[in-house]
Amino acid sequence: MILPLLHLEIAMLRRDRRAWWSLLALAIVVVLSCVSIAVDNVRVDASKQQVAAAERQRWLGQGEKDPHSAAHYSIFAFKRAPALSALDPGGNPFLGQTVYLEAHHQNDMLYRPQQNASPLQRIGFASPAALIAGVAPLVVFLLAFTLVAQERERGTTRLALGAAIHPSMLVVIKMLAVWASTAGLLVLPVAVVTVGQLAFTGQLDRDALLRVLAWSATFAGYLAVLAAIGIAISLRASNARLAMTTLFGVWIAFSLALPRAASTFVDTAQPLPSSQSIRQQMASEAPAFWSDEQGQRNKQELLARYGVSSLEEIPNPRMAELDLMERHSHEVFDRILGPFYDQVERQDRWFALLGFVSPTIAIQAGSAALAGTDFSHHRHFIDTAERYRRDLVNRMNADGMAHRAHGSERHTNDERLWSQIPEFVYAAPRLGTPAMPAWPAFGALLVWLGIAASVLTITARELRP
Amino acid sequence: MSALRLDSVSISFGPLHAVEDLSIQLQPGEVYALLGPNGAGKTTTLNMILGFLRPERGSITVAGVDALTDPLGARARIGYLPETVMLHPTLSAIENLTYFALLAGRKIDVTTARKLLGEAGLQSDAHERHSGSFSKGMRQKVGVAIALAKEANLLLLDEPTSGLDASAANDLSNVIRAASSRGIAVLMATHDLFRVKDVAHRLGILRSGKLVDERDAATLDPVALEQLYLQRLAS
Repeated sequence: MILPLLHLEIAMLRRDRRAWWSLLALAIVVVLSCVSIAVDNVRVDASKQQVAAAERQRWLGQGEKDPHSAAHYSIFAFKRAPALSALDPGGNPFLGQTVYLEAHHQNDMLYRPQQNASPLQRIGFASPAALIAGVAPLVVFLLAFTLVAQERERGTTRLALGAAIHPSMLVVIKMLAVWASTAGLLVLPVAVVTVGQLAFTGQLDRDALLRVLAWSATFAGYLAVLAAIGIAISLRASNARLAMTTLFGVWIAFSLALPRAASTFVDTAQPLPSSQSIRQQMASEAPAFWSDEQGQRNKQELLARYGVSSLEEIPNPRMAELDLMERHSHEVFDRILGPFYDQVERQDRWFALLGFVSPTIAIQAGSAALAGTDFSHHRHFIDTAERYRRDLVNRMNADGMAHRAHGSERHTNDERLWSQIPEFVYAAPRLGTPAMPAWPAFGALLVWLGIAASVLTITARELRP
Repeated sequence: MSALRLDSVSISFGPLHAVEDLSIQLQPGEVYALLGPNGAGKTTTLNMILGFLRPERGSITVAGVDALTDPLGARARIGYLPETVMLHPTLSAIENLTYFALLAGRKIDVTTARKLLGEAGLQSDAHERHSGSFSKGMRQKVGVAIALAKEANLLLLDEPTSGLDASAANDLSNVIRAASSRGIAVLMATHDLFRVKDVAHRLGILRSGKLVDERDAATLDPVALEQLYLQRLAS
């Protein structure tokens, strides 16, 4: 009986043009945003692959030179767009797509997609996740209002309750109609588009599929929370006007006011140092060019390390000093950037925790984590690229240190050494393997589901014509 | 087994005794008219039978099912026609009938839906039209078809002829007689004395929640019925 009833409830929604056309309009914008991001990702990723191949050739073809110079010559490492970034680009547009890997420096990433973004993307409102999280509540509430508050006002509910149906079942069918319509038109199409894009680009593996399923299920759960809240408010309000006003207020609170308040709160409670101050600290503690005093300290340390009394006894003292300072910079970078990145993740965890205040906050935090576009996934790339950089520089310095060269002498090497450095290949972490600062968001969504189901059950029990 | 049995049913809203010590019994196929002015307690009585209101005292049984302990079970045996039938305006007559039948746990096909709507007197050219354009009489006919679709033991009709033209009211009388002939008991709350005389087997007069008279309709001609009604309301 449920399916034919559901069919008729959805027919009622479809024929109420105001609510249905709002849903269709949103669905079209959501799909367009997904397709637009996916097409852009495919185009940019193809360029990245071409440039990365050219970079490799540039590295291999740099000719004969001092290995440390080769470490400065170095290469760009490219970050492919995360598999699900068409669903939720997360912080990706603001985080750069490539990093120049060179000796002495852990560089910032370059070429942020946001620099080439359309006006709509620049205001951060053009991804499926942002649209569903922020605008869908309004449409879901409008559908719930149409199906319940208007019916009650019209008096149809009396005739419905006169049939021998349990009020809970009536309410559940209406909730299912709103949920199925919104999930079917907002979540399913973009999930299909994304799977198609992944298949087209050869990225459709088990992890990507699992992420699409988890992302879709989480958004479907979010829409279920909204549908239940919308129907409960429509049932409890004494009249349709009050229902509409309350639903509009809840949308403003959930989707506009609380996420901004949460962000401000997190910034205040867990403030981040400015990136400028971090860069400054790194440059002053691990300089690429050092003073005479530092040179003297380096000399003493090298003499002690090699157990000799003069630099002449060290095979390649220049390279040994460069290696010494390189390894010093690794310790400095880890000491400064580690806590900085930890603090960013702590902010993300706090924001996710505030998902208990609004389901929109929970979905905003959870979506990027599932899509692999949150900071913890980005940090995985930064760490991988940095490990590659350190291996490359250490390898170059080690080759220099293994060959005798004093004064203006320089040991050189060529493609035989360069080709021993493997290509930079980045594999994004599998779902659940990086730290998931957003995990409280999923707990919050489950709690919201429980609350919404309870309120709906109580409301249904109290339903009178 | 009685189609409906009310024993000493009472309900108050604050100081107001809306229905007091009301007892009525209907046999299968019997048509009972509950007469009374506005506020006499007719609709309150129907709401208690439907389980929308819970009486403070007394018992209600619908076709052997206790309506107080099993309101859904009782409601399953009742076809209900409210005073103003409000349908889903974007659904056609057939779709409305299908929808409300499904809510009552009955799946009906289009042929059955057309037959029921025809029996209720709705012109066939209106079957596919959205009910948003229907007159009150047409909506009432769809409401009758919905009540009939339940194949209930008891029809509860709340002011069924209110606002209907003579032709539509006559169609409704035919439906009531047909239902009665199939063994369905009918309890109608009404002001329409003419219709009562036309279709009812028995009638009861409610005044301020109390049943002040109960007669066989056959013993009264229309004039006598009107006089009795006015007397009972005045006394």
